[in-house]
Amino acid sequence: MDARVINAARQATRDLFSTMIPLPLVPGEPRGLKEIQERFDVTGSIGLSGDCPGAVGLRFPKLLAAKVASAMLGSTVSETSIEIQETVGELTNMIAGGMKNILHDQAIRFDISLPTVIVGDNHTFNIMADTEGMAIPFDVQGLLFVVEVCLKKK
Amino acid sequence: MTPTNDDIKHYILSLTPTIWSTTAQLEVHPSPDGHALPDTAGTLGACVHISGAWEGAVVLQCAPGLAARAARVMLHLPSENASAEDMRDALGELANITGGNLKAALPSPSHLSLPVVAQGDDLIVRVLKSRRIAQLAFESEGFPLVISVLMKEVK
Repeated sequence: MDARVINAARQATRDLFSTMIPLPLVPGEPRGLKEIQERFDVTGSIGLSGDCPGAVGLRFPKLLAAKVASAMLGSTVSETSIEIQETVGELTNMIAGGMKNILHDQAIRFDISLPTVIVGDNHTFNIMADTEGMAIPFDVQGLLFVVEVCLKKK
Repeated sequence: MTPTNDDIKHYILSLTPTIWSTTAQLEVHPSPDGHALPDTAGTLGACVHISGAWEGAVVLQCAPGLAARAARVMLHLPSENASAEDMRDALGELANITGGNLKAALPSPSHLSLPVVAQGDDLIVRVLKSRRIAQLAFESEGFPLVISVLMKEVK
């Protein structure tokens, strides 16, 4: 998988937290998708079309989604609030948008779709088609979320 | 010419039975229960996005029993059981075909995204920054299937 895309996902996520979410973020090493054993409750997803067709997924346990939304919005957001969906969708949009800007400077160009949000305790999430994917784990105060990047195989 | 919302509804109503019968050998009929989303554990939801001259998404949601029946035919499974992965493959492909057929009726050029499929209890699938222009309920062998079409909100 093109390391530039993974690096762009990691950088875009770090940039987002440093500018908009006042929580300490510790990035982990990218892993294969099947190595991620955790289950998640809220997922944001955006499709990529153009030079690197694929998708980006942002996956949270609901406790961490509420914590991140609360920090971002500056007010307490409950785990079942609809604001969680809006926030995770917007975060996914911003990470994909950040990746687009970073990769544009490296002559990799793509468009992004509308964000989709999936909610359901411990749901599974898969990007179908012949793709290769990596997951970047991030730790926020002992809780884990992942940014998944799947690209169509060439 | 851009189809109207009613055009899109009628297109999905006529397209869906054809897709499911030719691809999965399942008879699918409009549901008399209206727009009842699958209310079972392990519901599957598949979404494809259309972008370009027209922007929006198609979402298919169904009970696992229906996805399993589709998977057995589409994947030529030898046994009665379909795995979670098989069901995801089947519904993802059906979403892909539905989206691809709808795209052909929409302004061009438009592109289809890769399908994403989720499965879980009390599953919610929302396409943000859009408005729903069609939600159609079907049933097959007693299992519910709901197909929604969403269009990008223009502000």
